[in-house]
Amino acid sequence: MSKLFAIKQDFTLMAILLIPIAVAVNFVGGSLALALKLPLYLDSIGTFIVAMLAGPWVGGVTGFLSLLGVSITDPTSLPWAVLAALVGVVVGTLARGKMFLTWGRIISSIGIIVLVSVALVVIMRFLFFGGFTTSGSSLVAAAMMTAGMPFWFAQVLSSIVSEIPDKTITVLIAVFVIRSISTRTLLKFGTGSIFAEYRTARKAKKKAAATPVAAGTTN
Amino acid sequence: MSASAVSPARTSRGSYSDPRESPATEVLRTGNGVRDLNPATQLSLAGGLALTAVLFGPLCMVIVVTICLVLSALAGRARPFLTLFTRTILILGIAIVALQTFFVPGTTELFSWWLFTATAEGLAAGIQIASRVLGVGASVILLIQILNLDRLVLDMEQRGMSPRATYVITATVNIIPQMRKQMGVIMDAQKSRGVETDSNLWVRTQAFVPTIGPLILNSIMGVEEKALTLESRGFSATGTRTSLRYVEDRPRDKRLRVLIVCALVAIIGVRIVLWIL
Repeated sequence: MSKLFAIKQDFTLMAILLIPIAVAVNFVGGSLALALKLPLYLDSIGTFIVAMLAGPWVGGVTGFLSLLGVSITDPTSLPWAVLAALVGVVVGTLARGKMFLTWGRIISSIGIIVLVSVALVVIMRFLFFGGFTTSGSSLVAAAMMTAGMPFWFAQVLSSIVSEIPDKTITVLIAVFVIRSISTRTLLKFGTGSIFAEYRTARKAKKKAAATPVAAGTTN
Repeated sequence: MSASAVSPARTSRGSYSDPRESPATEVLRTGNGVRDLNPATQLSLAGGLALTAVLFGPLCMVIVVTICLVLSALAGRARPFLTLFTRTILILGIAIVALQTFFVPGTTELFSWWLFTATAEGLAAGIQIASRVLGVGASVILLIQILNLDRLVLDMEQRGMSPRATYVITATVNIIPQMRKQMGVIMDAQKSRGVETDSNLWVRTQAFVPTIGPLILNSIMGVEEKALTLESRGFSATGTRTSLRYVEDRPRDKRLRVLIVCALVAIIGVRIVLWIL
C-alpha cells in the first residue's frame, strides 16, 4: 500500500508526457460523441487510460486538467473538475489493485466506478447548484419529481441511468486500448506493467498447457 | 527583441534577473493595463470576487458581476465576456431559479401551472443558489478574458514551479488542435473503408471505436519518441535555466495583492459579524 502514496514517483517523464495526450483524447472523444450524435458524454476515455497506465495521481491530475480546459468554453463545468479528478483517482487505484485484468473484475470495477460517480454527481449537484442544472440527467430528475418521486430518489435514479452506459463504454474502450498496446510500451508505465506482467504470465501458462509433454520431458 | 545573446545575470536557482539588464529577454506584454497585471494578481482578483459572491447574497452578486464586466471592458474584452456569460452562466442561473421555484416543496404557493406549483420558498432558494453561481461564473469568465496562458505558465516557473508541471499545461493546449486534425484524417480513412458515420444509433456507436482507437494508440506510441526528443534537449537536466521570456511582477502588482487580501479579510470579518448578529 505504501506504493499507492508515493505521489512523486508516479510522475515519471513518460507519465507526464501522457497527460496532455490524455486530455486531448478526452476532448476529442467528447466532440466525436457529439459529432456522431451519440447520447453519451464519452469525455473521460483519456483519463481512464492514463489512470490505468500511470496510477491514481496522474489519473486525477488528467481528469482535473480536462475539465479545467472545458471550462474555458463552458465555465459552468468548472465544479465538475473535482468529480473528474476523483474518478481518475478511483480508476487508478482499481488498476493498481489489478481490478482490470479479468472480465469478472472489470465488471465489478465498472460497478464501483458507476457507484462513486453517481454519488459524487448527486452530492456535487446539490452542493454547487442546489440539485438542478441544465444537463439531461438533471432534467430527467425534474421530470421524475413531477411524477411524484421523492427528491433524492429521483436524483440518484436519473444519474444511474446516464452513468451506467457512459462509464461502461468508457471502461471497455480503455481496456481495449490497453490490451492493444504492446508489452514493450506497457512496461514503460508504472501501473501499465501490471497489465504486461499479467499478459506474459498468461502466455506462459498457455504455452505450458499447450505443450505438456515437452514440459514433462524437461523435468 | 534584440538579437544579441547576452544571457541575463542570474542571482540564484529559479529566480530571474531584471529583464531590463538583458536586451535578449522578451518581456511578455500586451499593452493593456488589466491584461498586463501579473497573473498572480489576476488570479487573486478573480478569487476574491468569487469568494465575495459566495459569502453574500444576490445584491452583492450584482455588484461582483458589474465589477467583472467593467474590468473586462477595461481589458477590451467586454463583448466576449458578455457572449460567454449569457450563453453559459446566465442560462444556468435562470434554469436554477425556475427549477427550484417549481420543485422545492413549500407552504406558500405563488401560482400553479399545469402539473407544476411554484413556491415562494423555492424561489428564495433558487435566487440564493443562482446568485452564487452567477457571481463565481462571472469571476471565472473575467479570468478567462484577462489571463494569458503563456504569461501564467512563465510566471509559475519564475515563482519556482517545476518546468515539468508547466510543460503539461502548455503541451495540453498545443496538442488539442493537432489531435482534432488527426481525428479528421482517421475519420475520413475509416469512411473510405466503409465505416458508416451517419446511420442509425447502433451503427454510429460502432463507428466510435475504429475512429478513436487508432488515434489513442498512435499517440501513446508517440510518447516514447517525444520523451527521447525532450531528453536530448535537456528536459530533465538539473541546474539553473535561462528563459528568453519574462513576466513582470511590478510593485503595483504587489500593492494590489496586499489590497485584495486586506479587502478579503475585511469582507470575511463583516460576514462573520453579520452571522453572529
